[in-house]
Amino acid sequence: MLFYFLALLVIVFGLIVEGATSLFFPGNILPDLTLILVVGMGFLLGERQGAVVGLVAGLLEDVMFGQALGFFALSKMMLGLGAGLAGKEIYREKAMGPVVLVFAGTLIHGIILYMLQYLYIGTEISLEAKITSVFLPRALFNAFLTVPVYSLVHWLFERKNPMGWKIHF
Amino acid sequence: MTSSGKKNIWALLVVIVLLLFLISYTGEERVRLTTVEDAFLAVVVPVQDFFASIGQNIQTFFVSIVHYQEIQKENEMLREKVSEKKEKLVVLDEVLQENHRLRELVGFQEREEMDLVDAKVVARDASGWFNTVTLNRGYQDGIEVEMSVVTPDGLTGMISSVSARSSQAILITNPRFAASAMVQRSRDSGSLGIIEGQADDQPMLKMINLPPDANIQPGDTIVTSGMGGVFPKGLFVGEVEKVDVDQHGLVKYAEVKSSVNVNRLEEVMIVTSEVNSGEDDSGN
Repeated sequence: MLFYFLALLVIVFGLIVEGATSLFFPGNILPDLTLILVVGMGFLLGERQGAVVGLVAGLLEDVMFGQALGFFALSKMMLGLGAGLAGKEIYREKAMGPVVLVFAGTLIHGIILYMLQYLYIGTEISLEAKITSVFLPRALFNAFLTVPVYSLVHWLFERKNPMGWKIHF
Repeated sequence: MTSSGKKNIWALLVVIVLLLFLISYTGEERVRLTTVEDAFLAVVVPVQDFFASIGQNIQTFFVSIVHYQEIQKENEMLREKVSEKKEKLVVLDEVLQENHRLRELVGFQEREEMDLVDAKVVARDASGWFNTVTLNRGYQDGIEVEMSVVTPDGLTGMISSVSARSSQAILITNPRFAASAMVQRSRDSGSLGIIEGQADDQPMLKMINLPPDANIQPGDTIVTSGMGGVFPKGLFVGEVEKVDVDQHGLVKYAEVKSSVNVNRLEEVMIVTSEVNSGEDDSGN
């Protein structure tokens, strides 16, 4: 129970800080703190917890910033699930794993949202243009922030890691 | 595959289908959020406001150090401008009084002043997908969906959802944003069009559905027309950068640079009352 409460607290805090700090970044290259948290927690805790954390984080993000419930919930749930599955295959004891996952996850997250937006709202810009002008810079930005954020996530949830892995930097 | 593995896959598929249904159901405008959403935002938004204030103070502190000399020069220039404006205000006051007298003489109704509620921007959509901002005013402050959001620079957006003490506004650069607008110079029906945000996250707006003989050219000022009853008439939208015909050659469109820098919003005003334009007694 304490784990879920702590996870919820971390996600809500991340959303608050993300929303407030995004006011100070010009343009649309903004750090997605929630994404890093979802990928980090999924990678560390497994696919089921990752999917649940992603679903809840995404729903809260939809309430705070989205225009329809479900956009971020669906994309972040898939991200958390994917991070949990990848955590079984990637060498977890090095922090490079989450960095690479966050980079790839940002691109995949963007593509999922693009497809949803194309289906439900419509868009005139091509996916290729969106990838090069928005997703790639954002992926680099998120990857840069992953190490400190993931260090915090690991410190908070390490005891809950059933395999007892320690991360080496 | 084990039976629990199959169960997990089925559970995942069910959740995905439910989420897709939820997107369809909530994709249309909602007048009021649910109680749960309301309660969540009531807790979260004041905390966001707190962090946003800290961030703004830190930003102001560093900007004032780095740009100290520029700020000093700007300060002196602004003081001179304020003195000039004060003199002009006296003259304008006289003109306004004369306008009231003349309107009474010919029987024109008075233009109503807009009722404005100031609001602070406490958060911005960090994903950059929806071009939305969160404001610290809600229905307890008299805010409703579809109210206009403005700054001294012009039309900024529209309220899209409201909770008790906060609201969300879609910005003018949002692809879902649309407003009826006209060319300020000509103001005739031939220069009416629809201004909408573009999907490429740029500050350029697009004015569409202009007739082929529309009286519009680069450099023209675009203002809201007041048609449709959503946006008050006369709100500054931006300046025309380019005019062209669509791919079929049937209608014109214009690229309009928004007057508002949506990436640097700190405070906005929400228009809470409807505006009536001046009419004579015959209803013209």
